[in-house]
Amino acid sequence: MSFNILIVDDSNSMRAVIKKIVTMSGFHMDNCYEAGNGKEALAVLADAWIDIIISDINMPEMNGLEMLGALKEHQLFREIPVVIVTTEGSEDRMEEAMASGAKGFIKKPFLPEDLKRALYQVVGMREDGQYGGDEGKAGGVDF
Amino acid sequence: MDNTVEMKEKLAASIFEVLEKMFFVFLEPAEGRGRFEGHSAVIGFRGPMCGRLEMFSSPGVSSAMVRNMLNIEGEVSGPMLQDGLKEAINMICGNFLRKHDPSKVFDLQIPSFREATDIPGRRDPAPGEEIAAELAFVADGGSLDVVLFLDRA
Repeated sequence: MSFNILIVDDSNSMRAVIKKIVTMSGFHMDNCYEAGNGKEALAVLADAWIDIIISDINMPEMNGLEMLGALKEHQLFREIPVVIVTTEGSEDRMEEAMASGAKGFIKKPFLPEDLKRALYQVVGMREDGQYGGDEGKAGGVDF
Repeated sequence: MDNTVEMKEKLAASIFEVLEKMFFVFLEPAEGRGRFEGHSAVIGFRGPMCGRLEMFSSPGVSSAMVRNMLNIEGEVSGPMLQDGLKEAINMICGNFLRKHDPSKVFDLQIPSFREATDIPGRRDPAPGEEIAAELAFVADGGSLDVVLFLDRA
């Protein structure tokens, strides 16, 4: 099974880094979509089937937490697993993101393995590509 | 430990962590200030303490950071440079604030970039600000300085 991934970050460089990590990790990615903020992400979601969202929090126009709120309101989008990759790492902010529906939380700077692990966890796969992981339990990764 | 010393140590730890993990740039602490002929990226933050964090980097270090981050060879374009440096200061600031107090929420503003010509004078605190920490480093290709400005209570 392959997954369509949407990367939401206002930094082109960070989107490129995340895309490269996902590609090189061997994760089964079919298509990779990109958006510069939450608003653009919602526009992508209206046009394409997305299986996983990887999103920053601190973005202009619509931030990651606002995007999580908007996803929650939408019947089709609320089940899409979201992994937050952000510099904002306070305990309260992390709890807020998880309470808003995020399935994983990675603090920048991060190692490629951290993102890879979080992706496999949110889709319930082990890193050998077989099912049997703890789906939806990626939780926080602290460095 | 003195609050200023502790803040400086935590800021230094964040700079090393971000530069090594995401940009593969290994810094050495330096004395004094670097030359101001490069670029700067700045980010403001609001919370239990308010201020801005600004990073001044020489062209060689800036280019190396972006090339390493994106794993590319050759010339780094202006937009790539701006984007990479803004992401760097964003990460350093977020990392430092959670080291400073992980129990508190800080709102980070959107980072901005300044060309060399805008930099003279930027190293001085604006009215109502004070310098809480100032760190200088050298790496292959030049210098990198980071200054933490805090709003006076």
